[in-house]
Amino acid sequence: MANETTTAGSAPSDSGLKRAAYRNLLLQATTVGLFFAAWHLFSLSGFAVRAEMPGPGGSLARLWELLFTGDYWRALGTTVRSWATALAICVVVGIPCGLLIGRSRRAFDSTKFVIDFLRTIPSLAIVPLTLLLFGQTVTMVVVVCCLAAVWPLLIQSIYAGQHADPDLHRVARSFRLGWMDRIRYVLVPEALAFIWPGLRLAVTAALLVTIGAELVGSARGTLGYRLLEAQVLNQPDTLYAYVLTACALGLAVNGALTLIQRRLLWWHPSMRGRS
Amino acid sequence: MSGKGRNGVDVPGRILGFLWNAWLPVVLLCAIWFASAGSQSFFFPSLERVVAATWQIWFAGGGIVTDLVPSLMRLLAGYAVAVLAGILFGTIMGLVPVMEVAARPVTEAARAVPGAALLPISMMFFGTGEAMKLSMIAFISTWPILLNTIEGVRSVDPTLRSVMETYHIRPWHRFRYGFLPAAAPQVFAGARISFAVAVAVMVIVEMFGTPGGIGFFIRHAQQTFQVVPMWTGLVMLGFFGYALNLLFRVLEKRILHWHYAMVAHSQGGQQ
Repeated sequence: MANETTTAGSAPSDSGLKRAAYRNLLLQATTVGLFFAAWHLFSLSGFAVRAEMPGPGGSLARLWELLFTGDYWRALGTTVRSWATALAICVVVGIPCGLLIGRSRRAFDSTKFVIDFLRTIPSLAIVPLTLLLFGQTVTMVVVVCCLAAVWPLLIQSIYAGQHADPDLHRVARSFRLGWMDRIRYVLVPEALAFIWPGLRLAVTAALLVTIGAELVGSARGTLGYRLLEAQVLNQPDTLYAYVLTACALGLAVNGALTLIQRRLLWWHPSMRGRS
Repeated sequence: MSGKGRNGVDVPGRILGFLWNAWLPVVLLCAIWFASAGSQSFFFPSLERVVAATWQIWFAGGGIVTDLVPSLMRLLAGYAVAVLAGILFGTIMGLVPVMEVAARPVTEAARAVPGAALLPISMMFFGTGEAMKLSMIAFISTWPILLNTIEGVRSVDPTLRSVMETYHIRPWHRFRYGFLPAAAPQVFAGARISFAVAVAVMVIVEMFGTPGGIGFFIRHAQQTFQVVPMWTGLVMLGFFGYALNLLFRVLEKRILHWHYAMVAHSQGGQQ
């Protein structure tokens, strides 16, 4: 993103910025290298040998092998699908409910305790119950995941409903904006600034809970199941390959969110002045 | 806080506010009670039986001592380590930008990795005992605090920094009276996320770990098809979580009261 916010005088020159960026990249590359080196050395120590920890070489080699198997991609796909389904359900249910509750003082007062109580129950504790009801299935995972991810969205949407700025709506009325424009330029951006942090929390929580539920419930053919299987069957290489996969999945999701955030919320004060 | 009055002048308003807060939970509870009365369903026993069994197992039977207290101790110990480590390393990294930039791949990856995926690794290292449980809780819940502390320390007012610089304030005092209070609201925001994470991790590690703990209790009840005890475990966990959350909020209000007062002041001096 172009750096448009630099002020005259104190602004570093363009080449200076570039040099700093290169230096940072170099630093970070060194860190990654150091991390793998440390992992390798650690895997040689007695402690790690007893725990049968493979080095990065073995894990990455196994990961490479797995990349060409259908099981790997099926497991990854199933997990991503459960996660995405649960998030979609939460968005569709949580945001409208939250906005409605937030618009009404009475509705907020009435639901406050119930929401507070339900959201403090760790959703993974529900896994035994959902296991009895749905068995070791994807449905079970989606249900548990929804119970974890809906709260941040609901609560931030309630804030969005509560903090709707009447001035903005007056401005929209004076300009005689049509309802489409009003949604596009006033309601959505305003609500988004509140809902976005909730969505970010929901996304990460959902990923953790999806894999957690798969692990506890050993939902067949999922990433969590493969992790558990590798541990039970004592295949450390495979286990670490799948953990690396989970890590990469998390990083990819986070990276995508950051990109979307820059596109959507560039106007928000918290985003200004960042490159 | 709805009342404008002080010293409880606005009594009717308070009572009305309380009624608005209380009616839905009461109605829901009654609805569940009567809807489930005489339930023959295996999975959804009547609330009456669950309540009776909760009393039997957890209070009269001493379940609180054998299962709830160990969970609480585990949670607090792991969380305390996470808070200390998060604040310490977060402050250092917030003060030394080069370090933060260099460590970013690691911190980002650690934050992004779904913690549950690390469970099998932890089990290979530490088995299923206490060491596995504590290390998982501490490790996974460190990151939200760490990242928020970095943000908080970095956003300390530059003027305050220069003032401390000018007066040659000792490093410990700078940390104690300068950076820590200034970063505290952010740190608490991270601590709250961390806490929720810690509770979630506690439940999952207990489900896989050695006996003792509410997570183990719920999982064990399910595996032996004792549905009523399983429900009592969920009820207890609900109250446990709610009570801890309440405690957290009270603590935050006490420690950050100056911050709330400042925000209220800058927003027009109400309250």
